[in-house]
Amino acid sequence: MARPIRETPILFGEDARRFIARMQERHPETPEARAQRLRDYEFFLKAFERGMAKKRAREAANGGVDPCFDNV
Amino acid sequence: MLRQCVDNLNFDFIRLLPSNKVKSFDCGDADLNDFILNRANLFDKHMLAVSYACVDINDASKLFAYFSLANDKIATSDFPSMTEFNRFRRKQGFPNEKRLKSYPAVKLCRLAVDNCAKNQKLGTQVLNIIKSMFVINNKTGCRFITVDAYLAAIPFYEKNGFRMMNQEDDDPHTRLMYFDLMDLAA
Repeated sequence: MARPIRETPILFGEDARRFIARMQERHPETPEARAQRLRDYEFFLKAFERGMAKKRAREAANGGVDPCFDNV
Repeated sequence: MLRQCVDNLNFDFIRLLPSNKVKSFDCGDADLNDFILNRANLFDKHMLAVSYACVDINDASKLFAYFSLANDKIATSDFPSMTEFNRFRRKQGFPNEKRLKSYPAVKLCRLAVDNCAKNQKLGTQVLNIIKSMFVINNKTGCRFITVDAYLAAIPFYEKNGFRMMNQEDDDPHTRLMYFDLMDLAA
């Protein structure tokens, strides 16, 4: 059975102080990393629209059931 | 067998529905496999997490990767420890806002890449997508991404800008990490 997902804890003491201090700092991504991230996201938007359109078409053709999955 | 079709032109993304039970997936980790094969649809059904899958463009039953997301928060307290916090709570009731501050976050519950798609930087691509999802046209405020990272995956997350949440975390399997989305703000 899959391990439970750990809850994010409340931060106390030094952990909280370090976290707040880090929030004030800025570590901007490089122009190259930013360009790559935006390219990946643009691709995702298209691939998601395409994937969901195909999924809806499969469901429409199979009485609301997507045959690519075990439907429960 | 390494499928050579894993590139940007050969996969789609879909959002899995509660009724969609994935037929097969193998990332080499029993826990991550079990989650997508048996648990993800239940998390979705109970509105606890939603899962997205990266699938073969010609056969959506073949998953290359998946990720599951849920709402989260990071809370900080002025108290030096949980013991002090609990003592105050017992005495004073629920602490006021001066004593406890929280910041909205999204929890990356699970992220896994199938064995057939490893070493293609698909995991980094998925992280770039998740980061952008909560910076560009985000529907609610969200400052951080949190993740409960497997020990073996810590270098991957560090390489992608995540930091440790606690200095002393002795969990034998995972470490809590976070990414500050403000670093991506234009």
